This record gives sequence, C-alpha cells and structure tokens, in this order.
Amino acid sequence: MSKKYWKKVNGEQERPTRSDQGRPIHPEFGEWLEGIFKKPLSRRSFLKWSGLTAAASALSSCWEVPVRKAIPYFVQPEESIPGVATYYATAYFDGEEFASLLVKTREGRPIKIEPHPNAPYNATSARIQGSLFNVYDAYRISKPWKGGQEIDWEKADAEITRIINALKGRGTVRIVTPTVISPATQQVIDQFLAQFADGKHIQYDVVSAAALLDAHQIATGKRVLPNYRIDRAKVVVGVECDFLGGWLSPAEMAKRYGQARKVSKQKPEMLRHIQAEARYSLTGSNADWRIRLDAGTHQAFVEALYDALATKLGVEAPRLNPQVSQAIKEAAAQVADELAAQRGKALVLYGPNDLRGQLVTLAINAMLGAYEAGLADLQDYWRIRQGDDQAFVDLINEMKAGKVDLVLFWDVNPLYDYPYAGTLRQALQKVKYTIALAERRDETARECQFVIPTANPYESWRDYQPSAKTYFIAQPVIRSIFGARQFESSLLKWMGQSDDYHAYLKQYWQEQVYPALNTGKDAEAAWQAAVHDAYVALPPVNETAEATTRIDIAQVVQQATQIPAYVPKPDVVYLYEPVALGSGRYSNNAWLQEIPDPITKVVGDNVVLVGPAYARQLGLKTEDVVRVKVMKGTGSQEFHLPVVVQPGMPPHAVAIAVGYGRQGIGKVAETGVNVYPLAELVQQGNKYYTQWEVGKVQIEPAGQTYPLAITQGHFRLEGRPIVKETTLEAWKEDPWAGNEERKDREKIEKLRKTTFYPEREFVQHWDMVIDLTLCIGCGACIAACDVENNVAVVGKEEVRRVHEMHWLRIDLYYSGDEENPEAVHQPMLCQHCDHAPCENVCPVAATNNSQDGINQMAYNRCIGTRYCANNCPYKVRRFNWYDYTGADSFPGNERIVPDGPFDKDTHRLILNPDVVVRSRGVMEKCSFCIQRIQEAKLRAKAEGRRIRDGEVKTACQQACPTGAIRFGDGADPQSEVAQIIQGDERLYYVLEELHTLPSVGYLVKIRNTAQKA
Amino acid sequence: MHGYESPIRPVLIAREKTYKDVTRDIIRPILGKPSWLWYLGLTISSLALLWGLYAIGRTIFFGVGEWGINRTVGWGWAIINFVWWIGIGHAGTLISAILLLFRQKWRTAVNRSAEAMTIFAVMCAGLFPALHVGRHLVVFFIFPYPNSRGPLWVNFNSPLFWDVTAISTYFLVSLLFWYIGLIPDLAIIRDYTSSPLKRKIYGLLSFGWLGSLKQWQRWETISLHLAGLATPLVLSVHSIVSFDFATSVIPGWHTTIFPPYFVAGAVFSGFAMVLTLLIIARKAMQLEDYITITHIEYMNKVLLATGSIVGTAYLTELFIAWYSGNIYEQYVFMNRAFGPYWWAYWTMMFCNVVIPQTFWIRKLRRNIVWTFIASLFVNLGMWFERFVIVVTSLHRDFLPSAWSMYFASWVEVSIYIGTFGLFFTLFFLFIRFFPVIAISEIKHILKGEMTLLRKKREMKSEPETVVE
Repeated sequence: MSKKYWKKVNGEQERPTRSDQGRPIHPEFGEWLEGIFKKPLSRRSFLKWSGLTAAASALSSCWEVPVRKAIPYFVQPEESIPGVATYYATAYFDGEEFASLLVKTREGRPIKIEPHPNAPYNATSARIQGSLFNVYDAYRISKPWKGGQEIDWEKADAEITRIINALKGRGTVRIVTPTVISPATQQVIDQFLAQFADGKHIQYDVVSAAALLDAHQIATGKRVLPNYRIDRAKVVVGVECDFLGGWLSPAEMAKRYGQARKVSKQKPEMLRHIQAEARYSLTGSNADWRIRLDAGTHQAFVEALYDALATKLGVEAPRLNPQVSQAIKEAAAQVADELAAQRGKALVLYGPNDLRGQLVTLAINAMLGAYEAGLADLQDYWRIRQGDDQAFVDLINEMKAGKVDLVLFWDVNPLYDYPYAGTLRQALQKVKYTIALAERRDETARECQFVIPTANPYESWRDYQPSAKTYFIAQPVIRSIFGARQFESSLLKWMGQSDDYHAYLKQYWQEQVYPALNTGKDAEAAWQAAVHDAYVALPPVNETAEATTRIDIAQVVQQATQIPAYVPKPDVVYLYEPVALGSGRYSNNAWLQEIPDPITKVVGDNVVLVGPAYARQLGLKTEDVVRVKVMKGTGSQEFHLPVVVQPGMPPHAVAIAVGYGRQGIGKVAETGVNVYPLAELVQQGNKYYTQWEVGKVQIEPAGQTYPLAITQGHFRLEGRPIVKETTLEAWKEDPWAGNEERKDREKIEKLRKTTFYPEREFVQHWDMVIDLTLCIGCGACIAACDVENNVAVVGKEEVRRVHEMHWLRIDLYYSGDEENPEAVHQPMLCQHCDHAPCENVCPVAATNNSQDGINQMAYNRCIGTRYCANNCPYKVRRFNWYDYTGADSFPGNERIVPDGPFDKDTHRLILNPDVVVRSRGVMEKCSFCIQRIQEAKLRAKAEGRRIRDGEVKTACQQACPTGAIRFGDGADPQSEVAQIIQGDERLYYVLEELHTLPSVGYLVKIRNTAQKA
Repeated sequence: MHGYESPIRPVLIAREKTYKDVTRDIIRPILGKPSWLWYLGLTISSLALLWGLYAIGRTIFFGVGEWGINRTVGWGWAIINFVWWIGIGHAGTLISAILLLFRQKWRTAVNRSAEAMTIFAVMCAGLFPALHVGRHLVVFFIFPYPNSRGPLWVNFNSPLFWDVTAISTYFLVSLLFWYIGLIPDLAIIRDYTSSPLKRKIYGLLSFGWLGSLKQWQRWETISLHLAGLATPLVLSVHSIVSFDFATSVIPGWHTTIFPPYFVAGAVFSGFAMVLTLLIIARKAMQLEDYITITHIEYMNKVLLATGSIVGTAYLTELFIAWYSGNIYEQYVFMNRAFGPYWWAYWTMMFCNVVIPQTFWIRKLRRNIVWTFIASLFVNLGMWFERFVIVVTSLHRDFLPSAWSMYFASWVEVSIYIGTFGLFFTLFFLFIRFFPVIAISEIKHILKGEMTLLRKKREMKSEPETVVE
C-alpha cells in the first residue's frame, strides 16, 4: 500500500510556484528553450534559427514519401467480405488447353487459379496457373485503335457497323479464330457470318492437329480428336509426342498419366510408358523405356511398328516396309510384342502433324482395339482442336486474289506465329477491311485497320464444350479492368443487337442445353446451378453423325500409302512448344517466363538443343551460338541462337522452342528468337499441313557465345542417394527395394530419436510426401507457388547470376548413357526440418520452428546474413539480393523487372494480400503455404474441431496434375501423410543421415521396366 | 623483469645507444616534416579508401546483389576478407600479450606497430560483417539489448552472435592495451615538441603523464593485467571465427580441427603481415638499429612453426575426409584439389605449405628480401585459404542440382581495395603521429642490451647482428 499524498490545501487551485524573480521554478520546456522565447531575438540568433528551420525542412522534404492509395468501398458489395476470399467456379480455354477452375478472388480481384474440385478437366498446367496474370497485363489496350491511333468506342463501333452494313448480303467476310469449343460463341459467329453473301469461319490452330483430325475423318467418318484415355491403358507408346508437355491437352493427359501410374499395395500395377523420339522431351524423360530415334525417323518408326504388329497379330493389310535401322526395327518389334500382349489396353500416340504417320498410328490403335475399348474414345471425343491448316492456306490465297472484303482476327496472331507470315502480310494488303479483336496490339493487330479491345476469358461469359459430353459455363471473375469488351458482344453489337452477351448466353442455354438436361429444376434455378457449378454433364448436343469405331485397317493403310513417305533430310530441326510458356500467348507473363524449362533448365531464351555426340562433332558446347539456316521457298532463313548440349538427342537432330522473340507487347516477351518461320507447310494428299519437323537445316557454329540463364548446371548425382529408384518388378518382390537403408525400422527410429536435446512432442505436425513416381517435372507447382506466394520475378540477367527466387524448384538428374539417359525429376523445396540447420545459425532468431513443425521466417526480423542459406543442405533458401518487389523503404534503388508482376499498379493487383511482399535484403523460402494453414486453423478453431485431413492444400499440391504431392497433419494418425509415413516402405528423406529430420518425405521412384534395377 | 641473460643471446639493439638516442631516433619522424613519399603513400591509400567507400555506398543503396554471391554461395569475398583481416590482426596481441607473459624481450621493438596493425586490421575486418548483411539499417538487431519487441533477444546459439561478441571484445581490449602502452610515449612527444598546439594535443592524449614512480607502477600493473586478459582472446577470437564454419553442416566446414587450425593460421598470417610492414618501415624510418635481422629471424621462426601447423592441418583434413567414408566430405576435398577452383587450392598449398618450409634454412631466414617475398606469399596464401574454405565448400555441397560458381564482382573487389585504403591510411597517420616503436619499452631493455653489447665486444666477437 502506498501512501496517499494530498494535492490541494483548502480547496485552493494548484498553480506553479514562482520564485522571487517571478520565473517558474520548474519551467515547462527547460530553461534553454524558455530563454529563446523570453530573450529578445538578436539578428544572429534569428539567422541561426531560421537557418536551422530551413535546413530541417529541406532535409525532411528530400525523401519522397510514397503515396499508397487505398480507396474504401462506399457501399460494401454483396458476397465480398474484406479479407475473406470468394471463390468462383469457372472454366478457361486459351485456344489450346481447357481447364475447369475455381478462381480465388479477394476484394473483387481474382488472384489465384485452383482446380475445380469436382468437374472433369480440372487439371492445371503451369500455363493455366499463370494465365491469370494476363488479365492484369498493362499492355492490354483499353480503347479501340484505328490506323495506329486510339479512337473512341462509339466512333469505332459506328465505323465498323457502317462497313458491315455496306457488306451485308453481298460481301466476302472471314473470321479467323482459334479453335472454338464454345457452342454459343459458334452460334454468334455463324449468325454474324450469315449476314453476308460469303461468310466463312476459319479456325486457326498455332499448334495444329489437322492431320490427326483428318486421319479420323478418313477412318471414322468424323473429323474429331479421340479422347485418349491413357488412365485406362496398360501400355502407352508416344512417338515424337510430348503429350505431357505440350501435345493437345498436357495437363489433362498428365492427370490421367498420374492416375495410371500411381502404385499402391492395393493397386500394384502401373501404366508402362514407352517413348520413341529424337527430341528429348519432358514426356520422354518420364518414359520407362525411351527409344532414341534417329533424326527424322518418327514416321518410319510407326510404320515399322505397324508392320511388326500387323505381322504379330496376323492382320490382313498391306505392309509398309519403311527404311529403318536394324536397331529401330528390333525396338519396334519389341514394342509390338508388348502392345500385342496388352491388346485393348494399349495406345499409341503420334505427335507430328503428319497425315501419313497419323493414319498409320490410327491403324495401329485400331489393331490394338483402342477404339473399340474406348481408350481412344470417339463417344466423348475431344473438341479442343478443330483447325484445318488448308483452310488458312485457302484464306491467304483468297486474300491474295483480292476476293476478301473483311477479315476479323479474334485471339489469333498469325503474323507472329504463321510460318509464312511474310506472305500473309502481303495478302492482308489486298483485303479491304481488317479488324483485330485482340487483348493487345500484337503483331497481327498492329497490321489491321481496326483493333478492338477484347476481354480476356477470365472477364467473359462463355460456355465451353471441350469434349462431346461435357458442358461448362464460365462466368467472368472480374469486370474487364481495361474496359475491353468480349468478342461475342462486339459481334452482336455490330449486328445491331444488344451487346449483353450474358443474356444471349443464358437464352442460348435455355433453348439449346437446358431441354436436354432433364434436371427437373426450373430453368432459372438450373441456370443458377450451372453457373455456380460451372459444369453440367451432357448427352452430346448438336450431334449429327456418330463416328464409327469399326475401322477398316487395310483401307486406312491404303490411304496412308497414297501419301509420299517422309524422307529425313538432315539436319532435322524439331520445333516444340515450351512447357511453361506455350506457343507465345504467355510470352509477356513474367512468372511463366521465369519458370525454367523442365529439361534444359534454361530461363528466358529459346535455345538449340544439340545431342552430346553431335555437339562434339560440330565443336559446340553449351552457350555457343550457332547459325541455323533453312532453305525455304525461294530464299533461305537464318537464325542465330545459343546451343544447349542436351543428352538423349541423336546426331543431325536439333530442337528449338517456339513462342519467343515477340515484339511490342511488353518487355518480358522481347527475348529469344521467333522460329515459327522455320516451320513448313507440307502437302499430304490434297491438303497442306503445318509441320514442325523440318529437314534440310544447316547448323554451323557462329563463333560467338551467349550467356544463358540456367538454373541447374549439374545433372549427375555423383553417386549420392538423393533420389532413389527401383523397378516395378523389384518393388513387387520386396517393397523395400531401392530403399534398403531404411529397412531396419527400429534402427531408423532409434537414430531419429538420438539427440542431445529434449524430444519434441507435436500435437500437430505438417508433413508432405512427394511421390517421385508421379512427378513428371512439368512445373505447374512452380507457377502455382509463384502466384500464391508473391514470389519475386528477377529477370533473365539475375537468373544468370544465380539469383532466382523460386521457393520450389524441380531438380533433374540423369543416369545411364548420355546418348539416351534416364531421368528423375525431384521437386525440391524447404524440407521444414525439425532439426533445421538454418535455425540455429541465425544470429537474430529470424527463422525458427513452429509448434506444428514448420520452419518459419520472420521477415521483419531478418537482417540478411545468409548464414541460414549457406547452412541449408538442400539449398532452398532464397535471398532478396535487390529490391525486386518495390517493398523496400529506399526509393530509387528498385530492381523490378519491367512489366513483371511487381512493376505496375495494375500488375500488383494479382498479388496475394495474405502473403507479405518481401523487401530487399531478407531471406525467404517455402512456408508450406502458412497463410492457408492459418486460415484453416482459424476456421477449425471457430468451429471447435481439429483440422480435417485434406482441408489444407498447399498451392503446389493443388496444382500438381498427377497428384504427386500429398500434404497434411502427420501427427493425426488417420491422415493420409501419416499413413504413408508410418506404413509406406518407399518413404525416404533426402540427406536423412544429417539428422535434420525433414518434414518432406519422398517416395522411391518406380520404373515399370522389365529388368530389375 | 630482469632475469639471467645468456651471453650467447644475440643483441636486440644493434648499436651503442643512450636513452636520449632512443628517444631522438624514434620520435624523429613525428617532430620533423614528412617526406614526399609519406604524402604519396597517404594520397594513394586515401584514394583507395574513397573508392572503397563508393563501392560500400553502392552496396548499401542497391543491396548486396551488387556482389557476385548467389543462391548457392551466400558468402564470398566479404567473409573471406573478414576472416583474412581478423587473422592479420592476430599478431599484434600475440606479440604484446603472450610474448609479454613469456618475457620475450625481442617483442619490444615490434609490439607497437604490430598492435596498431591489429587494431586497424580488426577495423577493416569489422566492416565486412556489417556490410555483407542484407538490411544494413537494422544490423543492430545482432546486439543483445533490452528492447520493446518483447523483448526479443538474439539467438545465443548462433556462432555469428559469438563472433560479434568475440570481435568487439578483442577490438576493445586490443585498443586499450595499445593506447595504455602509448601513454608514456605520448608524454615524451609532448615534452619534445616545440609546437604549442601539438603540445596541447599530446598533453591531452597522454592524460597528463608525469612519469612518476607511482604512475609507472600502475602502468606496469595494468599492462600485465591487460596482457593476461588479452591472452585468452588471442586464442578465442579465431576459434570463434572458425565456429562460423565448424558448427555448420556443410562438408568442408563441419570440422572439429578448425579452431586450432584457424588460430595457427591467424598467427601465421598476422606475422606475415607484420613482417611485410616492418621490413618497409624499418627501412623508410631508419629504424634498423631497433628492428634487427634478429627480430626478423625470430618472426620467421614463428612463421615456420605456424606454417607447419597449418600444413599439417591441411593434410589432416584430407586424411579425415578419406578416413571418414563420408562421400560428401570426400567430394569436397577432391573438388578443392581438382575441381573448377583447383588454382585457388594449389595457390594456397604452395604459399602456405611450401614457402614457409624454406625458413628451415638459416640463410633464408635472415635474408630480408626473401623474407619480404615470403611474407607476401603467405598473405596471399592465407587469403586463398579462406577462399578455399568459404567458396569451394559452398559451391558444390550436398545436392548437385544446386551447384553453382562464384566470381567476385567489381564492387566486392573495390571494397577489399577500400579496406587496404583504410588500413594504410590509418597506418600512415599512425607512423606520422605516434612512435612506431615503444620508446619506454626499448629503454626498459636498453641497459641490459648495452651491457650485452659491450660484453660481446670485449669478447672480441663481432655482434651477430649485421646492419643491412
């Protein structure tokens, strides 16, 4: 108890006591300051004080304080609670790949793509994961352009309507689009074209499947793509077909591949994958048996395979007797044996856009009963490619002849990606009116008279029918932020109708789709449900004739022999679509540009892949520049590109990725060389096909070098047990195969518990298990991680300096013969060690271990000694060498990649508000998506329960098309990961001997090879 | 402190000197006008310092991204230079403290400059940890002080924190030791100078030293105490620096041999630097009578001893790598010798193992030119030792996928040059304003040495020391 002092005497007011001089004894501000005010101001002290004031104000105004705008809602929108994410089911089609999605939006802006939880085609690839960034691309146009100048919407619409009215009933009008899988859009196009005397819709596929379509037209009577159900297959043979990396629908194929290759004790069987190819593709790197084809022998190989199989099965049909080496003949015979043994469960996929080869492959699949068994499903056939290369050739000829009055280009960019862009440019001069409906003023739009800003798919209402029996309604997840209008609305407007496409789509649905559904709900409720779910299963709509599965093999082969065989004329260059970037649509997407190529690990450049033997012969090494010369038409084309020596490539074959060298659509895209002009049109039968396997190419050293940004420079394991593998046979015999070191569980447990420190008890412990059998190395996880966690983009130059920021990388290791190596992909991320070497060395305790076993980073405590990164055996920590994000407090020192996600205000809208944008000088790394865990924790806590297994999914896990990544609470014995950790003999930890006790386990890779490892 | 003097022991002062001669000889450069060489030296070194400051400015403004370090090799020249400079800074305290305790009289001629060198070297070294961090503005987080963040303390388990503690202690004790030694000498300058300003400044700096018996007594006591305090520091500082590496898990770093190996290496490099500097200084400042060939020979013997320890440590590391059966450890050493940085390894081996072995030969030990060259080689070799440890261990560690190369950027090189600028600027200022040799300590041994000198003359034997 303290004494209570009284304050006042006799109710008198307390006041400052004054001394005799009348000065307060305790001056309020201290004497010196009082003095200033008291004393008359001398000239000297006036100058002193004003000088100080001036200097102080000058100093304080030197540093510009950044203004951060935050505008509150006046009226809070329905559905939107600040800080709580809203998810919308929708779907996406970029002209190549279709995916059904769940889009996470925060405060009205979409920030993350997630796979639709229960709709078909919900696998995502890196491209789809990154596609959302295209919405915010500041290079999108916000106003129509005419002849190189911006004009008003009203003016543009008025002028175009006038042109259309003038052409009504008489003009020749062409619309060029990518494959349209949207029935309602198709109807709009058809209605639009019906106004004119001669209207035609041309579907232009950059990555064409015309030969595959035509082969089915010939054999089955219907020009469709079979729905390749490799998930039901036992053997799949890919012939120069990168079905996991680029062919048709890689994410969906990867998902099916994963389903077919997932092994467990309940299902000790897996798909056998044989790949015959010259280019070392992502798919080839995953094959159980990769047959290295000689340059340009893909067609000969399928023919040899056909012959062998036909003989084996005794099919009465002509033999093709191709010219192939003895080794290839033997390999083909062996493949034929395997295929014949799995008749009805085997499938052959042929990549090149080559009609003869596709017909032969079709005959093989027919012999194998793939069509009858529904492995090449013609009922629920794919609609994702419908283009016809010949139609575009015809269009150019028409244009050249001056027959075309109006051409509309929607979402296509042939002046960039057509092999004969020069011819096309000349032909365009002869067209009276040209209109580009585009998101950007791209290579094609710049050459058109009108450019109409067109909405991104994420801003559009649209329906999709990717396959015959699936129907999706895609709702926009944001109102067009650049004021663009969706393609269909533009057409409707110019037809003089309402441009409310939402109403149009709804009406279309009610008239065309709803009656077939028989839902029992009323139309409005059914529509609401369809929009909400994004997906309805359909009996086929607009179906005319059924494709036949009864294929006359002899007749098909007869047709094939009509077409001259492909004669390889070395050197052969193989063009291919880069896995993360695609055909050029995502070139200005900095996140995707920064994902290393899954095979070469090169960032930001296209390179010439040359095999090791051939490189030695030519005197080339990685980073040397070569001249690639191709004879084309009358002249020759020359490209200068750097070389990467790629194991597994045969002599006289080189491979180059397309999609680079874009101009005028952003700085990120301006890298590499556009090699589309290398592709050629080849006449087969009476049609032309765009082929990407081009002969008669000359490769010669140019005598220069070019520094490449390569994130992994060493692909040999040096005998280290970092990846473990075994064969299916060995694993069936002994589940510990390949993982014998961990067989003595008791010893392992004892060793794991041996420590100086008190043992930690976990109520909750987050664990991840990655199945190396399932990881195909596609990089979807990297893209998802980047977007989820605001991972900085650093640019090619910084990647070259080994400054990349990816929290998750995929390591690639080769084994065996460098002329045809086996490969393993290993995702490597923070292992969240329970005894983390990084933690005890941090001087400021900025990195530490949470109660639930997560190795966490306190960014604002980090001073950036990088000691943790040095001491990390897995080298997964990433340091902010520069101010890559603009989060730093120094103005003027930013190193933000121009046009990257951190560059502009609009770009920054995609950033995840739940994840801190890291400033310069701090360390960062995988957090196990701590923001998602935290969200689930709060939800579970509010509901008074434990977090359910599977409730928290990390971004990488969600994105993985094959389901290789599993994540959960290892302390919950019922959880999937706990079951694996407790019971799966394939589980191992990388560098377990260091006693870091990682939380990320790996499952031994199983190869489905007959031989034992 | 006067024990028995062996008549065979070489004389430490080469010529007959009186107490007054000693004072005059040593403070001559302070009272007189410096030569143009001094001005040239100071100009060059301060220009180097300014260049370094520019590089430092860039580092602070743009970030350590200006350096060549990367994802895999997180430490580069900064840490190499840090360890190198700390090593350089070892000789001073060793000479002053340990040799004082061991009553090695020859130390008197070299201790002052060696101590100065220590302090300047530690200053240079101390720059690097502060600069190499990512966030320079919050580097104070590393000090354990009560704060309003919880309070949030540092991680006492982290060797980097031990480092900060060890080095700041070492710096403080070295500085005190050096300055206390200077006090009587500063008083002499005060008494000799004719400039009133200098008299005032030196008067302040000497804390009013009068040279009374009581003062000398206390001075002796504090010197001995500080020597006692500094002795464990000599061993601890570099042991703790080595913990930065030894407590990690990185193959090539995670080695129990590091503490003694680092201490020996530090003494080795420190003596080499002392030799480099003194060989120039004795010539330039005409102090050959006080820093004699005998002194140089003694120091060469230390080089030989520590060089052999270092060499043994290198071979032990190789043996243990083979013997351990640890594939990662084995790879690191194979990679050091035959990997992409083989040149660094063999430079290190040549400079640190081969060169000092020449000092088994007495002629070479007493050859000033060879000693000078050898000392430069050792300085170089010890730099490369740190390069080998820091870079070749990191650039190829456990996962081959993460391997990378490291090459210093011009900014890193410039900062290193800048620390040379700082070091020599301070050293030039030191030799201009402070006595390079401890006057009072030389006077302390003068009587005995002169007796010995006379005795030797009487024995008609020429003094062993030949003045060059």
